[in-house]
Amino acid sequence: MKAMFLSDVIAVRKYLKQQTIIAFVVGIFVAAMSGSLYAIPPFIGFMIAFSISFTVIALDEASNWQGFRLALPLSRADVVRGRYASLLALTCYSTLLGVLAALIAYGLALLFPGVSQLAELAGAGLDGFAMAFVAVLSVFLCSVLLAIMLPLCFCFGMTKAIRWVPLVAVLAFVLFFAGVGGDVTSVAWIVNVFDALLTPVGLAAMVALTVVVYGGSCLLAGKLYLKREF
Amino acid sequence: MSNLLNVENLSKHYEGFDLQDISFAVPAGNVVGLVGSNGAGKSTTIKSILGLVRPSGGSIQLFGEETVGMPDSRFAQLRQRVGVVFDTCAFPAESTVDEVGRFMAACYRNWSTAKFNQLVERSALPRRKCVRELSRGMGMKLSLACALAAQPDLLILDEATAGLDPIARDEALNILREFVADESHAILMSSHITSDLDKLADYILCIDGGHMVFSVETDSITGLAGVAQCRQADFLAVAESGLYAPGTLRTLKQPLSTLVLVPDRFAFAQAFPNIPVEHADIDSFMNLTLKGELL
Repeated sequence: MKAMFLSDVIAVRKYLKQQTIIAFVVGIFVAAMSGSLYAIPPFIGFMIAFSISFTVIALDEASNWQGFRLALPLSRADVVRGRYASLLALTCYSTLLGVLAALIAYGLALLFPGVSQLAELAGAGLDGFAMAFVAVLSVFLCSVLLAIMLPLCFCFGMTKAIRWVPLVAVLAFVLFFAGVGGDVTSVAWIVNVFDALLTPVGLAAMVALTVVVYGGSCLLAGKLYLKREF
Repeated sequence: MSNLLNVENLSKHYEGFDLQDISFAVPAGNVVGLVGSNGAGKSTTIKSILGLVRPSGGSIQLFGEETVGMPDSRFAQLRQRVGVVFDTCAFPAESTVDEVGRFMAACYRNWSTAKFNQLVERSALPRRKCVRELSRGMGMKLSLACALAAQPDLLILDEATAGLDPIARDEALNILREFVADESHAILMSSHITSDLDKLADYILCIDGGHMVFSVETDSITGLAGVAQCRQADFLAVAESGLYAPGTLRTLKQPLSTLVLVPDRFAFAQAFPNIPVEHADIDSFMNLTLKGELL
């Protein structure tokens, strides 16, 4: 698992540096334009996590890397666990980067009160709990999407999997909301959900759900990957 | 002499292709060459040995342990003793030579950084260059350096010398000779460059159309067998001599003569002193065996 994690880090390090710089600039710009600090962590989180995830998964199919890797002393379970760990670390890293960008944007707003584009950010203040909430929500949503995508990639490879991901994602969300029950399209339902989540217990529940969904997906991917031939 | 690898009746079914009843052994201290045309089943055989595909039948024993049906984690442990080179440099394109070394060090328990450094220097590989910046030959040298620095007991090479220039190929063959000089090591090597196998292999296994065609000691090809160039009258004389049982000689018609593959060129030369006979090599032996007609 450690070797696989290292392999992913080495493979994406160069892209990650580029993406980090771009994300910082774009994040602060988005904060200034939208007048909200809380949009930055999910924005940067999704942007980096998904662009790099797709890159690292696509690299598997280049030069038969995925086949060669399994000829080394790495078990298929090592490969799956390493990949899940590296992408989760990437998601957390990019979200934390988003939080950092938000703090920098807030600092800039305090330092330069005369800049009209930043004035709104300074005026609204910084709510630490709200920032933690959007960060956890960002990690949760990224993880759920990765949890849907990764088993398909391990089962079919990215080229084939990418055709099935939208269908499976829609089905998963439909089934989830059908299971939850209630009028999920009503504003009141959405407000109630956010009210429940915007508490320390809600936050902890989201973390726990992330672990369950992502961990379950990892187990499923491991079983599917065992059957794959190269 | 123990076998590091034993393959028995290996078969693998694909839509439109069947690998059937492949049996051979790779004894310690030996090099086994795997030859055959494109799509013959060489890579499927190697992939089955490495666990990249699941055999449909048969048995594969690696270091004495049956790998067919073996738990994946145990199989990965066994591969600690196997160094692998495929026909392309498979490492991620953006990794540098040094980073590839770091990754491989994390994979192999017996990894020798000193050996890796020595091979990188011997091959004049630029450490800071990315894999995508390396020529095909350089990429193959990097792959070979990694396989050897893992200090394996068994090397499995799938077209490992493809893309190397003649000087680099000779250098690679020297390195492989040094490796197998240790009697506890062995090499299974598939190659289309049969002249490499002429120089290196102890045994030759030929696969065609998913079937094993022959499995012989290299000496019986290069040291004993011959290719006779027969005119029409010579050919009839050989056919009617009674020295060879029907169905034991392979012949291939050429525009001006007929080539005959003879198992013992010295005996043939004694029996037919007027018929020119040259020593066979793996290429001519394979060609006549695969394309020739039985006499």
